[in-house]
Amino acid sequence: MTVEETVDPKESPATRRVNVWDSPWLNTKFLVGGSIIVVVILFGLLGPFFWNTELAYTASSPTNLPPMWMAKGSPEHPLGTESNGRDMLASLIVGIPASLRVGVLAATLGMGIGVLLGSLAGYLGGWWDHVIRTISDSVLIIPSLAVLIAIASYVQFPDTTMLALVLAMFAWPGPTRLVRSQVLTLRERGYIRMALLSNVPPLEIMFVEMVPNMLPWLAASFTGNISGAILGATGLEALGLGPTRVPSLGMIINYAMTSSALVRGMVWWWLPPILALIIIFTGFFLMTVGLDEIANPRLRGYGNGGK
Amino acid sequence: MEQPILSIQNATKIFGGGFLSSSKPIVALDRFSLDVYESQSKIITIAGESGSGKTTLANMILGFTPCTEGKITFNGIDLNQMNGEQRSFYRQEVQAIFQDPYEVYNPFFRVAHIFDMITRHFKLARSKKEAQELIEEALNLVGMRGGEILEKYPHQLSGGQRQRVMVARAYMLRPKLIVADEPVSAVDASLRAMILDIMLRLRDTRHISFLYITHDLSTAYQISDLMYVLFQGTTVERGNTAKIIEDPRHPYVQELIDSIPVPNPKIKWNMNIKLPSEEVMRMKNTVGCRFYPRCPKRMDACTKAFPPMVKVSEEHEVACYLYQ
Repeated sequence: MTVEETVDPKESPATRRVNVWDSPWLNTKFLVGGSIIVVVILFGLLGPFFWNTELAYTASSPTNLPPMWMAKGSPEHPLGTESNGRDMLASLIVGIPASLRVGVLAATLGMGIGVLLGSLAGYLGGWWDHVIRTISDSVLIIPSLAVLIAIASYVQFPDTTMLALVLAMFAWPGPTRLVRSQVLTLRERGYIRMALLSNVPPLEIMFVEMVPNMLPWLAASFTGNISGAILGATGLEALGLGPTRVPSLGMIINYAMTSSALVRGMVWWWLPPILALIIIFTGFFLMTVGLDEIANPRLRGYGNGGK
Repeated sequence: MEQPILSIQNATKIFGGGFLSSSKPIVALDRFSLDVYESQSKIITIAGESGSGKTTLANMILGFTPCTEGKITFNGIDLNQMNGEQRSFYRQEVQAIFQDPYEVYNPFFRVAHIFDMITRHFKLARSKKEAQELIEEALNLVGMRGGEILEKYPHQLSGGQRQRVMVARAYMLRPKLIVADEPVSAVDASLRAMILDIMLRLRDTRHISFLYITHDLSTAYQISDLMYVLFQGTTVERGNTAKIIEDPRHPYVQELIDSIPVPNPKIKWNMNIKLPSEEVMRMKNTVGCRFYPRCPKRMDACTKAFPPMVKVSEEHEVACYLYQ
């Protein structure tokens, strides 16, 4: 496998490879991880068409019902209800996309800032590089959860968007470093020299010539950042510092903790949000590893093309 | 006397050895001078082994590496002091073809992107149709047709095709000088002649000068008018190509020409080159002649000071004490 195959997913495979299925993008880890995330997203997207999401709000259902397969369970609340009168299935249908949304939003913002600052630092170098690198390295070593807890105890987040913005403050140094190092290697490439000789202005070189060639790296960093942001958001919510109105996975965990669900044996309350998080993290982790293998052919090992 | 369009005056490049650097400075190019005149388009060979400073010179002319000492001027303007407009003009007048015809294509874009960049940023055409015609004309010159290649991705072209597209691209800007850094080293032998032929044609019909950077003396002999032989950053012999190849004076150039393999199995190339030990090779003679450790005719004077350029005949100079 050559490097150029990984860089250009759009090319018509039939003209290049005897076997169309011999594509680095058909990486097993990436595909399995991607499928898991697609199923999770579909659960959140299609759920509202099959189930009444109003049941996710307080006092909409009878309290403390076990799931339907246990004694006293009712088919009207298949996954049971909790002490505040919320239906568990409805809570998951609303909570999973809410948590995903925070993660995607924070990671997108972090990525955007990272690509911008990383490109400037790597390409312009000198003074720009020094300032950007110093700030990003400083932010990187700050224990983000501690700072987030401090911020969250002063600011009551009205909605998840605000939470995502605060999380993005800690999501940009990683991508910045990654993009900077990539730009440093890319700027020595022949095609960047050709662009310089073609009088292409610096911004166009950065964002038209370089960024497309970083896509696999950016994608790997992006999926990794999404799970990082979800982890941060869930941590805050579980501590009761997140938005309290909209149900999210972290909020379910918080209520389960404060209502002693563990001691009362209400497994159907505390386990589902944790399982959902495990599934989401596994999906993004597999995607990140898979994308990493796509971006770095050397990680793929010999002979099997990473499959 | 005509003013040269491109003038390189004592250009020197020293790598490393900065204030906080622990490595010893390496002199990549030492006091190199060269003038290119507009009225006489010439193919000028810069020859030398690896590490002789050929590519450093190319990078300096193209503005990728600044000179440590000396200067390069274009129409009298120093390359490092150009404003945006002057630099843009310089880019149009001095173009390049590189050794690796794959690396120079952005794998993300189709071949047409190469031409789009220059038509947009040098404002070569007022309309799409005009641009198409310009591209088509440039491609025809190198024996290609736009319909066949423009919509393809670079990896779908052969090495020779890719290099010809690069020549077409450079030609489209109608430059005065093309810096060709080993343009045929990575191309099949059968296509070499074709690209060299295009260079000759551009020189004769379009009056484009070439700086042909190579380690291959046989192709240099065939196409070039003037020649500069570099050894470890210093110019050891310069002048008319035919004179240097047919009557080399510097011991290094003599050795170099003797070692060219001839396509005849009965004639073996010269095997008498004895390389000194690695330590002696690495020890840079910064004062005297750089070739001293390898020279079969070395003298004591060679270590004292760098030998001056001696004129041995019309259009033929050599930097060696043997001819003083």
